[in-house]
Amino acid sequence: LADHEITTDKGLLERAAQGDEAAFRQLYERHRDAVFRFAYRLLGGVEAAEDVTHDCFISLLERSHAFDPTRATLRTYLLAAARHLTYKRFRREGREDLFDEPADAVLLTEFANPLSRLLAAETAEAVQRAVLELPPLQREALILFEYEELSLAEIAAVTGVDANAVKARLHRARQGLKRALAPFWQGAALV
Amino acid sequence: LNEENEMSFSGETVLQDALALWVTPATPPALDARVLASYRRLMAAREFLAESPRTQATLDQTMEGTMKQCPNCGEDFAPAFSFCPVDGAALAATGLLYTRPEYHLTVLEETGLTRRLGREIGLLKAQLKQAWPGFKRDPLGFTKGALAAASAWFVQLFRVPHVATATVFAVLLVMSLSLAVILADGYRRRAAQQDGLVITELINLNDIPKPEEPEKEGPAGNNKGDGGGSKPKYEKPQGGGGGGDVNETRETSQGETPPMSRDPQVVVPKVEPPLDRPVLLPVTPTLKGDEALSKMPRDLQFGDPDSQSTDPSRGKGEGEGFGGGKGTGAGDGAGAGQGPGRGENIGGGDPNYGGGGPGKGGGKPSKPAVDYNREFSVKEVDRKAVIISKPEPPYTEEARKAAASGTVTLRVLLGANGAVLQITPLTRLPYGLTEQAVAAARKLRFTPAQKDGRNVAQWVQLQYDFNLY
Repeated sequence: LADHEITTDKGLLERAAQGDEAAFRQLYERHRDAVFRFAYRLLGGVEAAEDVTHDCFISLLERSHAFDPTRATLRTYLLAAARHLTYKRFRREGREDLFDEPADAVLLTEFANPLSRLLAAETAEAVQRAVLELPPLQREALILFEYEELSLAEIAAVTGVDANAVKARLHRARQGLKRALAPFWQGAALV
Repeated sequence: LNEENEMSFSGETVLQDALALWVTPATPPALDARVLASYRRLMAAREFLAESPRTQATLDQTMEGTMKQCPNCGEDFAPAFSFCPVDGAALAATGLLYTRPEYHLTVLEETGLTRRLGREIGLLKAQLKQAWPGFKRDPLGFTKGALAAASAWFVQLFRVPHVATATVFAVLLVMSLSLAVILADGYRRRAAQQDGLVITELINLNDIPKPEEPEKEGPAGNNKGDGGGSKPKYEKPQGGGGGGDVNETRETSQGETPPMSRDPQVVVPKVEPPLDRPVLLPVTPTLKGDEALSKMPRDLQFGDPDSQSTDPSRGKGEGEGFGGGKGTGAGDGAGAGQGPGRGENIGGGDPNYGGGGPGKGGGKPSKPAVDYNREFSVKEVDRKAVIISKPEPPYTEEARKAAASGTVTLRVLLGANGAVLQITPLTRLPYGLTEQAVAAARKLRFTPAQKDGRNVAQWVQLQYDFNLY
């Protein structure tokens, strides 16, 4: 492998598949957070997100040659795998709501005023609830767009539909969120 | 791109700000360790498989490609499948990796046994259904193929790391345990033989019957006719006999009653003392009846055991016996037996050989096992429980307002110790009247029921009437 290939996702994946643990670590650390965040926001629970992230990376290694860098980035590929595993989990459990305790919002420290902090905490919880209550297809589109900052084309690649459908889903998700968060709108504007 | 910008910046910053508030927790460090451990395991397994090219080839063949999905039922399938076994539709590739199921060392599952059994049977049924056409077409070839597949599976199973070691270890463990048991048993037998004893049978201590309580000596048959007899179940003995001298004016003299015998009476008992002269063929004087009802024959003077008279007299009866009756027996009846009855045996009425009950019948019959601690019904007890006081339940305020009336029926267990043990309402009334009735029933006072002379618990049914006048 040429030098420039060694640090690309494809190069790292090939070395990792051959038993190079350092390469695997590098690859894992590069994409771990994105996959975990995505899974957490889809599933709403830390444990479930951990399982999905774990399975996602192991499946990547087991079929390392199935990844084609000309078709999609590894991140998109991993997010698609995470999505698939998440849906499998939904189906297996026969439910779509897996609520853990709401995560401690790190941003809250930014609010010095206790009242603002309280309002922000309340809003954060409401946002989490509102996102988790969205239909799964709208939820994933919103998460990928707003949190993972994927382009419409990338989201289309992950979800296996065309960009227009993604756009429609995003629109509906935003409408749904606005409705759900209407009581907090004023509060959110204040903080 | 313009569209995206539009979506991002179309005055929806408030929504984005709100969304930004939902912060995900940091990726747990435990996950890193878990993923790395799985990575190492996977690599070790690969190394192992690389050493056995055949297995690798088989695996590659079956695991090649991506996951497939049924367009109808949406179920995921491994790459090796081409058609959905449920609806027969051609499977479409999902473009996702096939994840080999994790290898679990244990077979412990959370689902219940019956559910798992049902699942297995369902699977077997489906497999048989699938296999049937192939078998029908070429039974011999199919069997051969199945055997080859089974042996291949077996070989593959033992190639999995540690399976062979674990199997050998398990077999050795069970064998050594069995050997140890056999050796220990042999050693114990030898030791016992050295002591001059041979173990013929091991007796479970629980199997040894407890020594039976000695049968209480009950009253033997008597003139009242409530004695027992030699039959296994209690049956009232009946019959009787009597005799006496028509010319006699004195009452029957005091003495023992002669022994009973079912054989025909040979010698009629006399009240006179035995003659002091040699008898060529001594025959014991008997009364005709159940042997179980009489005492051992004694060479004593016969007569009426209840009499006060010591003056030898056969009584005012008629016949060869003694007492006020007729015939060759004893007592006021007629016949060869004893008592006020007729014919033979003891007691009153027409002859009937009786049977023993607890404490009756001279103890010969066995006592039927009765658990006196159980609950008895009214019909089962000898003497019913008698309620001494039955406090009336007061009306509740609500019931009075609602003008409720009716009857509460309770089933009450009156304990052997005189306490109310249990109350079950059979019919209820609203407004707390049932509770009032139950409370009143708790205050019942009664004398416990009896069975065979013992206090026992007995169920009764009580009614509490609630009426507003």
